[in-house]
Amino acid sequence: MYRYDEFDAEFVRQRMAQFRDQVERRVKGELTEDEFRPLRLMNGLYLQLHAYMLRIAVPYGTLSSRQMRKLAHIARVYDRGYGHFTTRQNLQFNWPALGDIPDILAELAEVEMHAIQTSGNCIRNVTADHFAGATAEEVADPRPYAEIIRQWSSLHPEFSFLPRKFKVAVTAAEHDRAAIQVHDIGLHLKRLADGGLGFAVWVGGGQGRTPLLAKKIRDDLPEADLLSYLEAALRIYNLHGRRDNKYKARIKILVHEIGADAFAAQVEEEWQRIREGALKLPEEEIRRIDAYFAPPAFVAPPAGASARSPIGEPDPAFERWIARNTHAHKQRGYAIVTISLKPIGGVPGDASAAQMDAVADLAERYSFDEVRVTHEQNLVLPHARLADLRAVYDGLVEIGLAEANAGLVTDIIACPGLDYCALANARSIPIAQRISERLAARQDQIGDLKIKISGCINACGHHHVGHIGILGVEKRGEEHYQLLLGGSGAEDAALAAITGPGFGPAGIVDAVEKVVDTYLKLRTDPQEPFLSAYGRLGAAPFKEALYAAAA
Amino acid sequence: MSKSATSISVLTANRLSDGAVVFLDFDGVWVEGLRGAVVARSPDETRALESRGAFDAARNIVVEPYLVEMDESADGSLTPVRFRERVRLGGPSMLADVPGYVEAVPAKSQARAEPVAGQPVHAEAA
Repeated sequence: MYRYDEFDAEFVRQRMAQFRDQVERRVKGELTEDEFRPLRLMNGLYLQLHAYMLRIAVPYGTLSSRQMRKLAHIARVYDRGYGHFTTRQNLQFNWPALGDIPDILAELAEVEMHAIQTSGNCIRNVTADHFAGATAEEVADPRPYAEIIRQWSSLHPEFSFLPRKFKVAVTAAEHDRAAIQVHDIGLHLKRLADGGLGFAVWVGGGQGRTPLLAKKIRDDLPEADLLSYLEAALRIYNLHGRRDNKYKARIKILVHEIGADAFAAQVEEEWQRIREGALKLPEEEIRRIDAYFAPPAFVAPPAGASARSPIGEPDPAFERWIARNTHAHKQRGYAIVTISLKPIGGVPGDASAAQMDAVADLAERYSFDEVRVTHEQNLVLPHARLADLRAVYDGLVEIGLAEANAGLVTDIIACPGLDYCALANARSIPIAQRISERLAARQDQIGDLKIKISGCINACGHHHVGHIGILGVEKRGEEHYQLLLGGSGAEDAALAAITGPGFGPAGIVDAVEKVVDTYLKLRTDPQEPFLSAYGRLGAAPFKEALYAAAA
Repeated sequence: MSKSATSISVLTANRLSDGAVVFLDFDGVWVEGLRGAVVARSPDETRALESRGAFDAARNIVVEPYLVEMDESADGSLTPVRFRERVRLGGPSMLADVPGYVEAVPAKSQARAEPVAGQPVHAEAA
């Protein structure tokens, strides 16, 4: 894992001292809320519906056991016993007191963490494939590049006041687990024609009130030119992005309005000007950062190693978990484990302090001290030995996190919604809970199906790219939900389409079940996934099932 | 919904120290919950409440004060008209399902909570 050097440590220490002073002045009344708001947001501190909320950056979703234990400690000592893992691989505490924030940040700094740039119109925490460094599907670990981008973008003076927030995601696998096509910039690390590493650069994707898929503006960016090209792209956006209208200020609108070709041409012109300058990445610097992410000391397995014990009774629950929640590892004898934070009827993405501690212990013992946070609000143990899977599973059973539902219909993404968020119009979490309870018994039969729920148009719950998406709105003062079908945030990215009139809080759960029943009835065979069936059938049979009776 | 001549409202804000949802009561104290909340029933009373909110925000007692429209039942009990405000008043609706949730205010913040100058001490009580 990356370790802070003296610059990182000093930078975080200075910022901490600065913010401690700002909080003290706010509490004393020397700063007004208008003066304090931009300062607290730069440090990840929001004021939500019921309390403050602190959003802590988990760079590229990678945590050590020590860091995870620190998060558990903060949950226990300063918050209300739990934390919420988000769709941007971050962690949010929902109940911190203002006066405690400086101490919390000091605790975080002890384990090389902070909340800088988790809010505001700047370059946010860079996200990455949560299987990075473990999957055989990638050409190389994308996290060193995410770290390089983190260093470049932290307190970047030119890009600290962009027209709007800016989100970068990186993947190195063809199967896109990082949703790069719905990011402001998505980077796909690949092998170039000359044999070197480089990037396909996607720009202008995003969800929110104007969902747009990113356009690929470059397919062959050499790794040495990563930062100069990003700088050029950000510079063009910073110059021409709209500052007159918050809702048209994201880069996606600029790219859409002037066209991807015109945007790419302007970036190219600026890039050629600065390409050979200070941002050129020396080979040795890339390799230096690479070294922090060197694979752990894998041990070759004994011949015939398997997760399954050769003796004893078959255990169907364990077998189901192996089938759903483990993924092929690049190293023979190892597996990638998804720890579902979606117990049936539970709150998506929430983990108690005890669960965080237990996961930290499991990571320390069985996964080379490493945990990942996924944008689907689950955790991952990236490097577990097959021979240890039973022990990992048993450990997860003990803490109630052994649900074998990764990628299934109960593995639902949901934003905090109106239960916490000041921007939300409707609740997301209870809808996720009711759908989970309703469909749990049939989840294996249904197969891969991603449901994503947002409590408002800002789309933190990624409803635009849900196979089934749900958007909460306010209608005559009450909660109301629109249903969307056919979206994907993966390499086959697509925006979901609204089915028709919306539903009330109870009706939306029934509606989702009707969609699922229609799919089960019309799929060619159990191997035809929902998205394929929807592509083949179109929206008509689903709309028929949803609305015909009412018509 | 009930946006009519009979529309009544109360003044709410978030408390500076911990962001808690508070309402202005008859004693001029910001308290959690609607018990004793001052109700504005006329444009004049509404304006008076608004200026009190602005004043207490300027004194850094509360943050982002605003008026919440209420329905009043025959027995005088108040319910926010908008669902959003009902959740804001009642707290997250699924806390019973949150793993590890502890109701109590964390010891750290409680120890540090001190009365704000000019505010009666009980306004800080959780």
